[in-house]
Amino acid sequence: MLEEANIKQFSEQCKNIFAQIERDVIGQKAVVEGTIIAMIAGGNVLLEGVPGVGKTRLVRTLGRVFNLPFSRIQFTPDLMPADVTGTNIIVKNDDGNTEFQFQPGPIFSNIILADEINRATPKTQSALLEAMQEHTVTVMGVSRKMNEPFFVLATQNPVEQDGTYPLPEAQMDRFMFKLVVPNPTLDELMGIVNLTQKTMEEVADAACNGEQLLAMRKTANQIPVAEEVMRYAMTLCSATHPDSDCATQAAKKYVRLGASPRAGQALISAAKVRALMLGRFNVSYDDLNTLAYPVLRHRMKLNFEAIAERVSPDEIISMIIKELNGKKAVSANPEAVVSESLAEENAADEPANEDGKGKRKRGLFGKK
Amino acid sequence: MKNSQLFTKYRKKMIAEGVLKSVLCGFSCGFAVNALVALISFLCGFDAGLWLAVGLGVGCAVACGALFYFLKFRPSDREIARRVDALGFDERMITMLELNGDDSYIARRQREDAQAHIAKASAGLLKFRVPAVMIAAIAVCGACGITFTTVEALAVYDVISDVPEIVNPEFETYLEIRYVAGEGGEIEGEFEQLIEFGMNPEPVMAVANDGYTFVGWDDGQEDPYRDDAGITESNVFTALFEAIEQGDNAVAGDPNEPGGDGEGGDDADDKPVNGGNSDDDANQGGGGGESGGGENNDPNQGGNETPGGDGTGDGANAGGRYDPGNQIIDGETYYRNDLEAYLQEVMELLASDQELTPEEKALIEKYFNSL
Repeated sequence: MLEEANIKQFSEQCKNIFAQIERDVIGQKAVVEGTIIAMIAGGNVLLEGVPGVGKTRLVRTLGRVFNLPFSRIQFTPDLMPADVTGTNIIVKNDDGNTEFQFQPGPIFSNIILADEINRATPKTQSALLEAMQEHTVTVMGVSRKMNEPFFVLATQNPVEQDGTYPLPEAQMDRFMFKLVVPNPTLDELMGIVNLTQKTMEEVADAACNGEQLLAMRKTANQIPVAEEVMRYAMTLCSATHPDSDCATQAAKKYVRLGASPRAGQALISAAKVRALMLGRFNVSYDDLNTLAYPVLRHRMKLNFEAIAERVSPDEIISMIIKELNGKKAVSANPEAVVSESLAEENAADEPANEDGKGKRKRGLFGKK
Repeated sequence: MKNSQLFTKYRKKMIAEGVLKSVLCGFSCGFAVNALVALISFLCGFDAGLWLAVGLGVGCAVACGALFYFLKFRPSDREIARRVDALGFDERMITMLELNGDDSYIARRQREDAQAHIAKASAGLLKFRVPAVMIAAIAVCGACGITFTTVEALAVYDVISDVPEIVNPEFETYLEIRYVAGEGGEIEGEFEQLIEFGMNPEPVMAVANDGYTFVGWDDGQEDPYRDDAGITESNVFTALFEAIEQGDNAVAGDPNEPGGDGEGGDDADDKPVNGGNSDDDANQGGGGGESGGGENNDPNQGGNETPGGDGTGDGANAGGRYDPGNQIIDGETYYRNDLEAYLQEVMELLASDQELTPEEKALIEKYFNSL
């Protein structure tokens, strides 16, 4: 039963988590917030960025802040599925007889960092499928349940394509968010260098534990979603399909394959978390529009025309949102952050004032 | 606090907006109907169309306005919540409406959150929102309605011409047809007629007085009986008559009878002394003129000198002018005899006919008598 204490706990823990992460990660607020939203909502995250922008550090810091066991798997072309999941080995038991004993792989942890996931072969990549969706691992016909909470935070380099194996659609679909990690700004870069000149040690403390994280997820799940808002979320997902009833012109023109039903689930789950993080007790259109970018950008398979015209998935999502909303102002900038939204929410607790300046366009990863 | 109370200040504005939209839509429909009826009336020259257009326009405006309000623009709680949310409430109101009746903790918190936000906001934030297409519609329909009604009114009060007159400048609603008798005759029937355009005038007959004969109408028609059709403009038709000269009706004498100088007919221009009227004396032969009769004034006696003369040749010439009343068909039978026989037959038929009115019978009888 949800109580006032749960709401307060959620709010305080969010603040603590952000505060601790900021001690180790300079900048990248949108990525940090996106990752935390996905973790609270129970989703996996794919971080895409060039080397050196702090992807691995972020994941390690998250492990420390959430006080959860953390495993790092460096994906290489010769990595085998058993290297990920573990395997049965022959051991001698107390009686001196030999027997098969399961030796768990690195996947049996709470937070998995799948570094450069696209360097492994599809066979090894697919070893993560079951764990990511069902939170179980089956080896030699025996299924083993993963520890909860369980997250896979994968990274990939979008530039180096030689010797890589692009993730198949099934794998992509299992990531709740795909977050693009940008290069740090000048100020952020100065902060990073200053910090690392003093020490390379990670100083973030634990802000919550696994149980508290699960409680936060449960609390966020209670947030109600109005039917109209839910319908809009599903329309947003269906609109990415070029052959659906509510297909948009942008989807018809640029998309070969639209988002799966998992996208709808991810969108609503994440929107609930975002709403609660912003101190709201309902999901808004703005939540959906903002989260549409990390939820949908990796779930759409673009056609040749989009590739030839170099139209990015984010641009297509912007077109879809604009088309669905008509002339209504929508948040369509995937560069804003939740903290800005939160600041606005607090500063302008009044939703709107007489001169209408209270009307905000804000968003996570996102915009303003 | 109930949702309805929460939305009171917004509801008033939304109702006002709904009424405004309904009025605009109603007036658009009214003006459209008004314009249509006025245009049709103007094109057809229907005078009563002016008031019909005004009446239908007003009626349609009232009826459509009411229908629009109750079927489309009357704000519901959901609609109000949607509009209020658009002011920056992040779907708090619409969610609160859906959670109405839910007593769970999260529903209560959501309701409190929504109420707290809406309490801080002013109803002044909610602006009237009238779609541009509505304004365009009322402008276009209003302009058309007023214009066509004005034009129709001007046409009705004869300030401007009706369309039929503009399209066909020769069109006249009523045509005045006048039949005028020249000297020596008269017109039987309505000689002044006012007919509607497209209708035909009543037939008339030109009847010569005694001593005159009908020679034709001034428009070239030779039949004294005229039954005009297809007249498109007012006109005056004049019947022309000519006095009958004495010599004209002189019939050459009977070649079998003596009398008259055959040569008498040669001088057609000579005024006959005893020349008979063709009606009366043509059968008397001779018809001698001065020269024909010589001293002998009795046409029955014929001339002493030459019996008969050449009745055929000279007689024809003696008539001086073609007249069906004094022609000989075969040299033996007088046309007049046949004519009289026919006349008698016609009179009998007329007398026995049951379909013709007495006036028509009288007209026909006069016609035949004039022959």
